[in-house]
Amino acid sequence: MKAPAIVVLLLFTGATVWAAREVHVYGIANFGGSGECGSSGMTHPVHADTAAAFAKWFNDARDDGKWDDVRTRNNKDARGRYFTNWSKAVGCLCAADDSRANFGADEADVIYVHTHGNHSTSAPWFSSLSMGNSNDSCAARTDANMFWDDDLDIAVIKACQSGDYDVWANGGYRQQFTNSGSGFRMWNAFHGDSSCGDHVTTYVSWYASSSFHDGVGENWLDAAYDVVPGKNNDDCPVSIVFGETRSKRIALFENGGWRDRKSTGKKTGSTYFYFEGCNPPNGRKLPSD
Amino acid sequence: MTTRTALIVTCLACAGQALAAGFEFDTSRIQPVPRASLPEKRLTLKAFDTANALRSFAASTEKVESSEAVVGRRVADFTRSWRVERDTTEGSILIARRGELAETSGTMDREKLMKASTQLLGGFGVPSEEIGAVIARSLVTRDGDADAKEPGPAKLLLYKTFIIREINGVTVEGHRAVVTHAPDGSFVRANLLWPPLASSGHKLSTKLTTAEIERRAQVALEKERESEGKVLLRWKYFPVKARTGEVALRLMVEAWITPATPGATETRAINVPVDAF
Repeated sequence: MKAPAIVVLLLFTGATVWAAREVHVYGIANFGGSGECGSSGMTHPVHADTAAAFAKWFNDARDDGKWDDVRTRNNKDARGRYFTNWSKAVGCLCAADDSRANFGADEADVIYVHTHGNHSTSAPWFSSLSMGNSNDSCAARTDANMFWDDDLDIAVIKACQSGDYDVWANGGYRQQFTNSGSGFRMWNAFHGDSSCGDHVTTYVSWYASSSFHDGVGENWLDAAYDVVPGKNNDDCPVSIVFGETRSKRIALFENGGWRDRKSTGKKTGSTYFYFEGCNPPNGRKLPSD
Repeated sequence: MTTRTALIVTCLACAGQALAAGFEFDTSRIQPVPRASLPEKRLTLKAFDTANALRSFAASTEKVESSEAVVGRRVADFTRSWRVERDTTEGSILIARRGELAETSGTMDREKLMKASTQLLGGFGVPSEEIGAVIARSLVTRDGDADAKEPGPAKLLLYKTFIIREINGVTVEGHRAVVTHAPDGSFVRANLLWPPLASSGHKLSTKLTTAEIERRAQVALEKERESEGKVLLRWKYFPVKARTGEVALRLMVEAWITPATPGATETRAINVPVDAF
């Protein structure tokens, strides 16, 4: 079904399908209302603010002729189907439309997501992101929904527990959402919970603006690490890079950017970049060996 | 304010903790009130010159061989060995060694790293009066290759020293420098968001009492649909950008709360206005 669907899309949708460089931002701020997922206590307006801060730099780049397309899909527009691959639809019994032009997460080269998240602490290992529209799945899981086999290269996820160490160490993420031929290569996320507030808008803006050339992984760790008030309350950003060799994965982490999303070859391995000893809520203290 | 709240505030405010509605406030970090003046020594816009960054961080006298507009006002200058990206309208500068990262071995003492990083920042033009917490961290990696059942061992990739900006002992929101060294101690890069302070327009202090701030915090938290939890109140300066790239500081309080709401467990920082002057 997938190939014909793509052909139809190519025939009938606009020029953005052909755009070489596309970013989608998903700020899921509203919860608990009519047609929304979750409970009202989960509503954090700043989730949309940080999405705007991320998009801002890509809009500027587009104005400078250095980027092609920017789409903001907040709240109810951030549907579970846009994070669900057709290959997972039967398993999750949910709608799959991740390559939908201008909406689907796998139709962009780069995505930014700010929402709530959690992870499993035993098999099956996965992280889960809260979605914005209750007419679809309200949770997009790395194992049960996602599989990046279209355009997506880099995902930046500001959500609690979205890049959990134990999920990765137990085989989560890589084979859940890439195969050896997939182009998807970087998942910048958080081990454990990560604090939320206006400070996130500041560091997301700094990260987006400083990563057009290089440091698309390293700058994430520079910007988002924090020692939050309270005991064992660190913000622990991590970068998970997929590729065939360690050197290629480090090259993307260090020298890749929004405009130079370096190829890492076949996705037969991954590297987990983190701060030793970082100790967040709802995640283990990150190990030194 | 409820009777219960009023009673408890009266009893406990002096002890640095108070209950209001379902909140338990820790006010120990909003005492004393910051002074209303800036330190005399400050970072200036002149520091954001590429030659200054090369000289102060990399001890390099290399000439700029090419330059490129990145996005907006951000420009990149390239020497043979270094790339310097800067945007004076944002107060950001990034100096990084060019080329592939050569992994090195070695172990550095964290105290020495923090001292060296602070000295580099001073050489760039940041006075000690603007430096707050200094934290050194090891950036490590683990590899999971092919079908290996266990990931490989942790490998030290880089040392990163985080230097947090403080003025009058108050953290400036989002402003930091991250200085990176290789395991052998060589300088790799520095990444700064540290805009110069404007000469005027700052609102650095407040006349509100602790009890008044607490009441405002309660209102701000309830507006954000919070109803209970432990709340740490602490000062922060919010930077207001001018067109020049300089910033004026405005005193605020951040209310840090860990909510009990299912599905939203992370610590939140809610801004509390304090009528700063």
